[in-house]
Amino acid sequence: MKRTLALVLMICMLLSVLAACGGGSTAPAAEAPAAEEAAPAAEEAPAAPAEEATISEKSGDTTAVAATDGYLRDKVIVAISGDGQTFEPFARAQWGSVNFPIFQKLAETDSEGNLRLVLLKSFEQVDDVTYNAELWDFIYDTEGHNLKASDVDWSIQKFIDEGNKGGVNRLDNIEVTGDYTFVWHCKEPFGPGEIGKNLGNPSILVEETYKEHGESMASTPVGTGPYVLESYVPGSSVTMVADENFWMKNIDDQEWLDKNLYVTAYQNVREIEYQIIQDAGSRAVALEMGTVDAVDSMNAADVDYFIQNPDLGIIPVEMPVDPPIAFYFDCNEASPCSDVNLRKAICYALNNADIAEGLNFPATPVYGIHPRMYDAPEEWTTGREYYDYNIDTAKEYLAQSGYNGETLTIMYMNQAAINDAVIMVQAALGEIGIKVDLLPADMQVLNEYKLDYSRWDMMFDILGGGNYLSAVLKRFWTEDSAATNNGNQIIGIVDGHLDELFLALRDDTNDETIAAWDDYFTDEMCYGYAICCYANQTACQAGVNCVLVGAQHNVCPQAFTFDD
Amino acid sequence: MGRYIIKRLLITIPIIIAVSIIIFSLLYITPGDPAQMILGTTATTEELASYRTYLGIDRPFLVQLGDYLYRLFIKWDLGDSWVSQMNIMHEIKLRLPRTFAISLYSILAGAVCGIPLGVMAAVHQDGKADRFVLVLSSVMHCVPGYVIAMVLVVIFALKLRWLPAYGIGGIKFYILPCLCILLGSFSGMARSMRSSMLEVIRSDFVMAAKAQGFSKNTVYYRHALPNALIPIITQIGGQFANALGGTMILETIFSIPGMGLYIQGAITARDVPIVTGSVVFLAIWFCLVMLAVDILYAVVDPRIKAQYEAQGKARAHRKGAAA
Repeated sequence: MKRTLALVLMICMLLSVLAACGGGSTAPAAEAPAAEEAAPAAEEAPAAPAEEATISEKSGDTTAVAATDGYLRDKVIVAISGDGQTFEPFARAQWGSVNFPIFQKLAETDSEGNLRLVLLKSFEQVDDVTYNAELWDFIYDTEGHNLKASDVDWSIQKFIDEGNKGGVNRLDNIEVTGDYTFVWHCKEPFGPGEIGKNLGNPSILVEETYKEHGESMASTPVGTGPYVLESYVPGSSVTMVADENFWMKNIDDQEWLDKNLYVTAYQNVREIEYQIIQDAGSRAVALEMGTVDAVDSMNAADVDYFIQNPDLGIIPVEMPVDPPIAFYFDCNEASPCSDVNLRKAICYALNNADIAEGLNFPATPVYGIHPRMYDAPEEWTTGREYYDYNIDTAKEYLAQSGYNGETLTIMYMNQAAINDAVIMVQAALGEIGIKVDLLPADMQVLNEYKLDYSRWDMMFDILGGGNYLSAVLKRFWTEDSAATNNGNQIIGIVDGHLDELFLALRDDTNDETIAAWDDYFTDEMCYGYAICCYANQTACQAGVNCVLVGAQHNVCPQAFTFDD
Repeated sequence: MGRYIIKRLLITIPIIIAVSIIIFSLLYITPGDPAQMILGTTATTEELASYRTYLGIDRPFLVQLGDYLYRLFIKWDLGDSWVSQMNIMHEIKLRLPRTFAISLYSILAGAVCGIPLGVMAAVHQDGKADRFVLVLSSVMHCVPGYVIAMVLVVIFALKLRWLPAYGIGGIKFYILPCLCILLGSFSGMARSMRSSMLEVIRSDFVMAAKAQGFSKNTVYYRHALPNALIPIITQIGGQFANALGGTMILETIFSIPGMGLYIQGAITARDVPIVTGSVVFLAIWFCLVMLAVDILYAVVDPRIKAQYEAQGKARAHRKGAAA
């Protein structure tokens, strides 16, 4: 018996030793500042330069192949976390970065908010609501069909018909005036950032090609982009090869190229392979084994591991995540949070910096409802006077409120970072005597119960919707909420003054209108607030320079550069 | 026997219909609006209403149920995914073989490993072999499958570089997932085999065989083992049927696009056609597997086969008497 037990235990220990050996030191939990120093933020430029690092020798699989025929590399392999399941260009939920190399838009917005024309040769404003547009006359898809203005009209109408009307919210109609010219008529003048959204949302295809392919376009897409789909194994991999006849190679207007050419049109590699690896740990393993060149997201623990072990030659790249962890209150009379003093007590009781540090992700505290928009005030990120953590002030406001010990309900999306933050919020509110129940929900349930104000008092919601404040803050505008929330304002009441301030901000976004809205929403009425922004991490092999594009910071492998 | 098989096949039909109705009803009452999920939070009320009409989910429950059952059982059309618009039957045909292969190989391998260990433990009851098998099976039974998976990945993929850590392709991609299920399944099989064998060893006919002077091997492997295998056959069938839909965690870790991941993603996205279609498909497979198990009983146990034959003769006799 003893011998048997000893043998079994020995085998277990041997397995444990084999599993643990050779991995380097155990990485402590990362602090946000350390992570930011190690990985330069990708906010300011599309390309995130790789840190200087010793390239480790990796046995077995490697994708480092000598460049041929003008490409920087023959093949690059990227591990992605999700399987979009369809290449349908007009689907509501498009497959992020995987569709970029295949389909093109009229224009795109770069990471600094500048508009970059793609299919458009020119887009000139005639008046507030009218724009003359001209296409390049030599745009061909990979089946050789020429793209014309009528195809633009058809594509946008198809985009709308498939339920994407919000993506071209300012469009009234397209007037085709020639083979390659059309007039864009707006219903109302574009707001900040809306021109990029309206031009950059719909994929533009040749109608004839789409109708020839029909339903098979979802699995065998044909577009005008720089790459052609070679193979797709659902749930496993997507392989694309560069289109040798890519139409943009024929553009000889250097001035236009200097101003507009964007990374999504690059063809730095001959072949791109996306490997679908849903588990974050498995992606990290793939990166360490050298079977992939880059991954689109990783766990913070894996990021720490690679930072602590630079000899592995893996470079994490910080990728700021929008939206922030933010919340708003149910200001309906039936809720205790209808009392502004209670709302302020809650905000003063939260230490944003501590909560950001306590998350298991690199995160930075923020002080405005949506600080990462292009036109958001800097102080929303750096900090400002009100709602700095102050227990005494919190208790004063609590005493002034009518709070009688009721238990508040915080409803939130059950994601790891939000989950951790909400638990800390619960503890913080408990310190000043506010009882809180937590109600996690997946996205479906959250969207359903969001409109049921009897179920929650504070809502930790995903406040997405664009790159500019007006696109996001319209969630708190009665007229927009009425359209989307069955007549209920998102915070449970109708505030006419808030609506006026929003309209002023939407029509003319400047420091004054932003400050006016913010002073009323955040300071005076305390309808909502934010806690922190957490940073996702992408990572790549040493020597590979990742490029991220779009508001979702998708990897753009066609634009990767390489130190070798 | 033939009548029994036909009868079981006919019973499968109302079972599948009942499963379909239950799963459809459960998804119907589950909170969440598929139209909202697909169109996003910025969709207007009119857009949502229009899309619900397009999906057909604004109709009364009975109308939706009737339409669903008609498409499923009369047209044999599982439909398209609400999210990706991809044909569900096509996706299942791609994914089911992978899950099927992992389940089949690992369960069979588990049986090949577990049965001899169980027999060895029973034959040497209270001896060293018995204790070894008990300890080993207890340890492997307690360790969660995903822990085993991660340890295997670290050892064989990351450290030794012998096998790939993820993906699909040749047979080497299935070794680690199968090994993971095997290590979990053989432990239960060994213990069950041991219990079953011990029970049979103590029965009268085995005592009689020993008294007749047969060798130990003849007694154990020719007389006792076939009788002891009967409950194991049930266990194998049940494990295989469960493995078809229950390998979700392993498929996630090893990035194998099988049925588990497919259903899990559909549940999260409230993609009702995928969930209902996949569950019905798995229910059919489960019924067929159980039927195969019952048929195997008749092959392994002559008493059951004799029972069917006796019933058939009695029925024929009654018909003849009535005529």
